[in-house]
Amino acid sequence: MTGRVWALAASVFLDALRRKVVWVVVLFAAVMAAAIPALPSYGFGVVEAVYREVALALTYLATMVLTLSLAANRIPAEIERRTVYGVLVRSVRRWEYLLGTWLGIFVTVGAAVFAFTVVDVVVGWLAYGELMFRLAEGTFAILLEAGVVAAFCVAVSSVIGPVVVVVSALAFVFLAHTRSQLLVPEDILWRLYPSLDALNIINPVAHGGGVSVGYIFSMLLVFVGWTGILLLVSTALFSRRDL
Amino acid sequence: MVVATTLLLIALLGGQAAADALAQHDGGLETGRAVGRAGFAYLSGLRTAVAAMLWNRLEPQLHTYYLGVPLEDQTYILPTISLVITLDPQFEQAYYVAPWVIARRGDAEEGLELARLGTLNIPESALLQASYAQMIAVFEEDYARAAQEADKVLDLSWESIFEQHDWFGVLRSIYKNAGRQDMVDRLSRELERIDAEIAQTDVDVEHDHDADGVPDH
Repeated sequence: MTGRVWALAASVFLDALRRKVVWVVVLFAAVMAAAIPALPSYGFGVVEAVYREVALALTYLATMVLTLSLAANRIPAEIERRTVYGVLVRSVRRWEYLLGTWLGIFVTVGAAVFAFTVVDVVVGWLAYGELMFRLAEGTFAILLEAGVVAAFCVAVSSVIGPVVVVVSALAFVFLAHTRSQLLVPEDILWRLYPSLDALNIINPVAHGGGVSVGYIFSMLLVFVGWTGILLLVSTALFSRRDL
Repeated sequence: MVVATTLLLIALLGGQAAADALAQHDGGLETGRAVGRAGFAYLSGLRTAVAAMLWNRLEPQLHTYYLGVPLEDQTYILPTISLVITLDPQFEQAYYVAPWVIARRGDAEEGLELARLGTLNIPESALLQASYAQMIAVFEEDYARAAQEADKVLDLSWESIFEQHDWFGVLRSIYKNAGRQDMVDRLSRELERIDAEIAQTDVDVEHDHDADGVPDH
């Protein structure tokens, strides 16, 4: 079972390489380099924090674009090209197919995020003479959020086309980040509102001392919870689909 | 399936609760609530960068004030200032300029409200607090209230001693009109101290106020 899932994941990863995803990293590095002279300086000592904020924002943007482009059309295209039948007749279960697809996307995005992080740290070092390894905490949180978004895309794309997948994924990200606009911590629903806010650590990474190990563990719990539920939903939807 | 879903839901909500609890101890940043302003929050760096770029574009236009265009006629800058504040609610200069333009146009109430908003959004800004106090004195002529607002300035820090010097002169006038002689005396002493400090400061910018080709200082 595990072998089949990893084989599927590897095929997704290799397919992404064939589609020249590596160019995304080159473009990202170019954008980072171009952004530096345009950064505002709010006074002595603040500009590095502003750089960290902008670096994380651009990393988030690039990661989400990459995730959506990889995840939104993967399953619909395989169904349309009928390649999915070739996979499913080889004793691969539907849930294995979905899990393998998600894992492949997650690994691909993970490799890209790693490269983005290297670019962020190197550009920060060249521009400000400071090795900002703390940025890795922020990009790790971004990777976790990208994993959740990829799981959402897999779930929706198992039953519907790529345009709806992209629009619904953007709506999902927005809704999952609006808890504090709708509720206050004293509200009982605050605890029950499933949100992605825990994965947004831009403030402590850009302006503070980063986050604790305990906080990273809580982020992982949120990631596992979200991803697991979404993959279960996608399995339920895909298993009912008449292929 | 039901058991798995329940366990995953517990992991999600439990992790979220743990993150909320731990975030409140992250260096006083209150990230638990602050990060929640997300939808948009991850893009905050881009927003502040765009706000600064818009402001940089605006600044040359603001200098036309010194070329004879009265502040109240510079309404063309207001849409950009409004956009800057929307993008970056902590952009100090926008809150300093816009209220004066609006108030000078005749809508003092609106201008004062925007100035007050600036002091709320950037409570550490001495410039905004002093400007708000001055606007109350100028447009409402309520010197007692202006002096109360001026009191708050004294605990705040300034961008430079030159800025502090200019504004302490303004604040001293407010206290004088409010009949607060103790504060007038205190600020006079402060101004003398700052004058002495400025005299010892090596200013690397030359000024030629009388345009005779010889730097005045």
